[in-house]
Amino acid sequence: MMQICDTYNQKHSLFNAMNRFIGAVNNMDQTVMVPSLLRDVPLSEPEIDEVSVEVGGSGGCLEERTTPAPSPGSANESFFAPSRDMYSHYVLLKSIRNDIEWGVLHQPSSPPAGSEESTWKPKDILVGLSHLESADAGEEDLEQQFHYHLRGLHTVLSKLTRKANILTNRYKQEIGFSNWGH
Amino acid sequence: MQVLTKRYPKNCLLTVMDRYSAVVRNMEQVVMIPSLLRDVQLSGPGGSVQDGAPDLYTYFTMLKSICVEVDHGLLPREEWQAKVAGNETSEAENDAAETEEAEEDRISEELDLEAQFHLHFCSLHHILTHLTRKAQEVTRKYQEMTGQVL
Repeated sequence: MMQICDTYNQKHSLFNAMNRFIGAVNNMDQTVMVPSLLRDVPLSEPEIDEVSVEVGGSGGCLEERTTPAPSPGSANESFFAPSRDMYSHYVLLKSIRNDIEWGVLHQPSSPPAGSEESTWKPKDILVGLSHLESADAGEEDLEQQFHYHLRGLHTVLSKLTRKANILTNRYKQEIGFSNWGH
Repeated sequence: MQVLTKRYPKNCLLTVMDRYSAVVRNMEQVVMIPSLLRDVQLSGPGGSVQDGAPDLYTYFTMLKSICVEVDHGLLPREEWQAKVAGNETSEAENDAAETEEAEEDRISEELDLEAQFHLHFCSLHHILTHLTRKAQEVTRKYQEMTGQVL
């Protein structure tokens, strides 16, 4: 009766944006066999990335870091470290992919560390929206709000997709670089 | 009415989008004469009618137009702005759009990508859930008015 799936085959649909992102993260996941190699490697922006392929010191870093994949506990620590290396980006991208695939509502949200620095946390949004639902004000601009968040999500997803692709390429470069030396 | 819930987990945003889409389609099928909804208010939880609340016809058109974006993706920015300008030509609205954009920029600067993602993702989830309920209410009210209550 409902042919909903067909309509998703639109270029700008959220479904496609999410799929692109999930694809990029899956690709990253498959490429990065030893995530701990990404520790302490800064994630450069694409412009810089193209120019300075031979990132100084990162090759040595690779040789030192041959430990197996870290435990989830240590993952959480570096995930919320103030300065993010490639590894924390890697963990972040995977966690966002899971949120997209499984939904975020029933997950224990914001961790204790680092939660005070940002004023916009999912909990605040929940409170804000439940307030919105009960109050009569704000009904008219639901459409605007919807559009605003849809556009925002699109923008964020495309940035994240780009990040996942950069990370995958950087990892390949790092691996290639270290193999080159041997 | 058939909702595609099996392809994704229950809480997934895509499930919520599917459900919204299906509920609005159902509403469109039920409401044969939308103009009947003019000047009809949704009664509140206690049966009270809120002053100044939009009528059901306003809801009906809004829910339909949001459904287009849910199904077909984002309108190009210019098209959206033209649409907003076409609906409400007052200066105040334009100012509001400008402040919204300024607000948007401010948020982008302040938040990291993760927080931005969660802000938009959760908000969309809630807005769509809320709108789905509204579409169901409009449908039910129409059925009541036309004596089709099952």
